Amino acid sequence: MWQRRILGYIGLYMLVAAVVIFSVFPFYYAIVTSFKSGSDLFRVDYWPHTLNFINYVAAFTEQPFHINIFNSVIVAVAVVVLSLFLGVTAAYALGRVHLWPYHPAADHSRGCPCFRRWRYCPGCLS
Amino acid sequence: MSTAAIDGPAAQKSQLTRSRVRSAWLFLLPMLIVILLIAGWPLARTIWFSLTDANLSGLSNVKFIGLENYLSYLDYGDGDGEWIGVLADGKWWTSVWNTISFSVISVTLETILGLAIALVLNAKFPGRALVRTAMLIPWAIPTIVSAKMWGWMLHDQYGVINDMLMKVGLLAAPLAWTADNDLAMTSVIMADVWKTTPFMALLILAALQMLPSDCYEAARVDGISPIKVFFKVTLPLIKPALMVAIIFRLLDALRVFDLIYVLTSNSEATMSMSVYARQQLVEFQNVGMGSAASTLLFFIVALCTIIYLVAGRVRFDNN
Repeated sequence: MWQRRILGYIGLYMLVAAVVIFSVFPFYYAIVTSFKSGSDLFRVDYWPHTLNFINYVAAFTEQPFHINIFNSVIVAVAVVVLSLFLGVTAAYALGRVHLWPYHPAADHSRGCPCFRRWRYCPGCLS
Repeated sequence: MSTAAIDGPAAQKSQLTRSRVRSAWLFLLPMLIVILLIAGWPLARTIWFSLTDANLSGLSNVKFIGLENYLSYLDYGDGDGEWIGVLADGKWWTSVWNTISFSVISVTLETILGLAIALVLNAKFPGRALVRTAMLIPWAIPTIVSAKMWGWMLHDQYGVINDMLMKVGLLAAPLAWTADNDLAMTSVIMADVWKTTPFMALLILAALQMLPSDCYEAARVDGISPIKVFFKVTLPLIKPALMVAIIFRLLDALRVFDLIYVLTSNSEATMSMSVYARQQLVEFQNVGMGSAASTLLFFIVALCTIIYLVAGRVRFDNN
């Protein structure tokens, strides 16, 4: 019995390792490449040989990356604030008053009360 | 508030309900206005431009030309002529076929892989939270960046994919993944599957987490094999969520642009409908043709959605 369990664990962790390698490897390879410069870039390496931060410095000195970060933050904040405002007001209206066709606060326990009894109504999925 | 007050017959509606409905519309107004401005207006404008001879250099004085951008017969006057317009363009039909085959293949692969990953991550093991975070990395990287990353990994001379495949002996010589017309679509699908499998896995995982445990206990008591449990219990239970996940991805894949444009530019082997529309609109400066292509894209996506809903037997009826 315990042998089967151990085999099961080994199998599970091999699957987990496969998932992690599948997801992380391209990102990892980009990080490894980011530490290279010059002709090193054209050699395939699976491990970082030197830790060269020259590309990271160049992103700020040769390109206005600090401004890019600032722009991203402004866009992110503005989008979150605006869409929250629009979404919250609309959701409040749709949630409190049954307008049309979908009513999130409706009782879904005995099937979907929504417009045409839509089977994939967001309220019925949860 | 009782349900009778919400959706009772109109005759029973009180003064309070009427004022509630009025204020509800007031609360809805900002969203409706914004949707009209950012979705309705551009859509209407595109459909209008598709019926004109609009050019990128002069959008102010355009002439209505009917459906000529879609299909029209150009008569040379000597008894000869040819069909012109988007629908007569072989490149358009290539791009339609590319888009549909790309969507079907990549969404199928993503669903199978996403289901497998979700099942693995649904098991209890130490470090599960960490693995779930790692799984989301591909989805968190912007598409442009991941397309550039894959472009470099698939490079014909310096790419790591060629290097790996040659090291394990699957390849004798490096392949030109993105430049070779026969391989370009494979490369694009590979990058897309990598990028969006986490999205599928996340939605399926959320569905798996909500499954009731009593079905599984009953199955265990009855000694049913795990494979049968998966097909007879798990799959039917997560089907609604799976269908929604697939349609989200399908709608997304049908309008694919950035990944293909960054990886293979305007190559006809991988050109999607969006890439075709952009080429007409920006490179050839032909706003009329570009808008016609965009309008057709809109209708083809709508058609695919309807086919999916019918073929997937998505019933609008609960019984």
